[in-house]
Amino acid sequence: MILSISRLIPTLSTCSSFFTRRRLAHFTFFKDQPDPSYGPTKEMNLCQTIQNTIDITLGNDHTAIVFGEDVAFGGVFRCTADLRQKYGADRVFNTPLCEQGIIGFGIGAAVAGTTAIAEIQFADYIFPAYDQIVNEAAKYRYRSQNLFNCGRLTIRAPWGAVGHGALYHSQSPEAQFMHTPGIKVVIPRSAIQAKGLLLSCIKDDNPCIFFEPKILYRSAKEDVPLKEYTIPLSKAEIISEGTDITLVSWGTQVHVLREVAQLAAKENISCEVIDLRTIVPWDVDTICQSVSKTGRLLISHEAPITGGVGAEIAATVSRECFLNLEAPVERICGYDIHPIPHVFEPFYFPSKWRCLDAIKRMMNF
Amino acid sequence: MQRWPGKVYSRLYRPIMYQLTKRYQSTAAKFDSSALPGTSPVDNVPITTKLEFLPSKAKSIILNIGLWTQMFSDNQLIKMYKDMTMLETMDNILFQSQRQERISFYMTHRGEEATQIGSAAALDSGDLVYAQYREAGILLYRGYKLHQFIDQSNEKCVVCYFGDGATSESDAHAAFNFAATLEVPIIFICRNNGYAISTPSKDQYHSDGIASRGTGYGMMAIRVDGHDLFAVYNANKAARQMAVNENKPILIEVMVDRFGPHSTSDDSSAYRSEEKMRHHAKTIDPIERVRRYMDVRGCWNNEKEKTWRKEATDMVLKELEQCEHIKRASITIMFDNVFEKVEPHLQKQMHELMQHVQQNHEASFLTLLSKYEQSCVPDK
Repeated sequence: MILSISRLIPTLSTCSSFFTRRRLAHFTFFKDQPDPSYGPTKEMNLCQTIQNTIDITLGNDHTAIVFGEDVAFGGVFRCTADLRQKYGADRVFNTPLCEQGIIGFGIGAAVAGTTAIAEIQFADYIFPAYDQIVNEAAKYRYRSQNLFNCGRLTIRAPWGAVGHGALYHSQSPEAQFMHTPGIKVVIPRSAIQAKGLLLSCIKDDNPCIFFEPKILYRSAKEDVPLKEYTIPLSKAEIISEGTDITLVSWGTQVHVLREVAQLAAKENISCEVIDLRTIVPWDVDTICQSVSKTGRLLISHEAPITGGVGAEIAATVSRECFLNLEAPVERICGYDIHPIPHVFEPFYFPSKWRCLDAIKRMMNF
Repeated sequence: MQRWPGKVYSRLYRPIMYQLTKRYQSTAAKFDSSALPGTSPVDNVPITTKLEFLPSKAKSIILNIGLWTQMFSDNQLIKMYKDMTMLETMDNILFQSQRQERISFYMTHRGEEATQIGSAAALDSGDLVYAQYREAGILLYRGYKLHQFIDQSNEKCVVCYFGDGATSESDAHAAFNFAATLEVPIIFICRNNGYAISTPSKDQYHSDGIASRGTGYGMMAIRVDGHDLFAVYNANKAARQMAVNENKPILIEVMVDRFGPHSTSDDSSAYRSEEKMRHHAKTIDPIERVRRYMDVRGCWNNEKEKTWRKEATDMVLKELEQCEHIKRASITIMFDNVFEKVEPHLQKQMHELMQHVQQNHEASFLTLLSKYEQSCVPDK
């Protein structure tokens, strides 16, 4: 079918790839500076950093394997690009289209002594593997009383809102895994963080789920140290200090909160912004110490509010910091609808405006 | 060699001989199948000492016990056959009816028809039968009327489409197995185009395609040239007839090629030769094939082709343009249909959102809002 070019041109701008869609991003990416002691760096975005991290792992650990759907040609987000040519088909390979199989296989490989890095193509698709994760991976060490474990398993999945992901390419299911003892859940906010955290997950002797904010794959460009380095798990990071209110989030939403902090500063409200980083086991001490200082806590996450990670943090802080609280703990999150309806994404979202409103409410409580 | 005292020797002789002969006997012992628990229905299957695996594409072995067919007249044979098949038909239909809540309960006799009818036929008509629950066949043989069993049928079937990649999901296994065991009128149509995004079929399965799985589930299957409109039609027509009339699932594996990429997010040159695909497309384009047939048949020509193509293009572009000017639906719709009604907690969230929307006068936000239909929040 031949279309004349003049007819085609108006449509070209909308028929572009996953990432170059012309839509206003709901956030501004805040770049971090690398630790100078880590030596030489290279400007890389998040997906290049992930690729670099897996490359380092495959290079240093001869037992390491990477597998999942479409992993062989480089992955739908190019996170495994060129690895098959470098390390061979035995170590970088496609699996059949079956998440239950991918994780089940990964568990077995890990138990047998392989560093298994399993990719789930989108976090939205992790649910067929839920039984394997909850009933097998999470319980492996416990049910055998440490005779066996699958600690060498790391599961990676693209996560969170991307602007046009609709119902099945936007989900952030971390709460569903926080509720399962025995697995660790980690979410980086940037490329530099991702490398250190992913390497920690891979080295950690517990099965870990590493959710990668897909909207940051291309846009999160930073000067990432080339050497191998780790960032400790279960340690939240205070990104900017403040005295009036503590803001907590993870992943993409951290950047929204950073902007909110800037907007709040214009109204003389001093915000302490914390990136939780590890969802479970989470850093209770850092959060509670901060709230004891500021007296106010706002938790914000993309996932729907009811039963989200924010609920767990709010309950714990309410108990630990009860006498220090100046206002009730607030959560600004997605609504309790399916994340995320395509055309309504800007309204579903815990936007900077909604967060700012909440901050003012708490300051005036 | 020191001679052992006779007493010791005789004392030891018996236990030693017993041990030696015992071992010898155990290895040479004939297998006594009566020592096995006789509860398995395959009690009489001979046991082998050979370690032998069935090949991965084994043909199933069917046991044929001697048939004394001469003792039946044609009429008797026909009556037995009709009763067996009527039982089967009734089973298919009534089981389905229960699933559709048209009758409250049913138990089928699948596999036991020969047992039912064969045994009933061997009885005298005056013999008293005490039945358990799976003996409707005996009643049938003896003249129990169909309407007394309650008989209804359904003319519709379900069709399920999926790709070759999807068959690797556990869902597919469950679906095939359930459809086959529950005997439902479903046509499973697998569009096997050789790729699941970038994953070629050699990484997806090592079986003989998807059609071969049919027998694994006890489901009929067929493989069709998906580029041939008429072949696909005929296979589906035949499958539908079987599905609806016989209440069984059919698996159709349609072999096609995915000429384009997986989606607009995929650049297929990263994993296959676009040159090759373009060349291949020219030779087997299904549209071309139909077109050529129509040309030969005389109902189409170049003139008509040109006119129609232009008309089609115009229609699509016109719709596209029109759609771009339509406003997006009202924001409150995003709370609809999560549940049947908008539950109280969602109503609360909706009101919070609308309040927030009304209070936000930031320029970029207002621009965004103008793309949506005005929202009308229902009263609390």
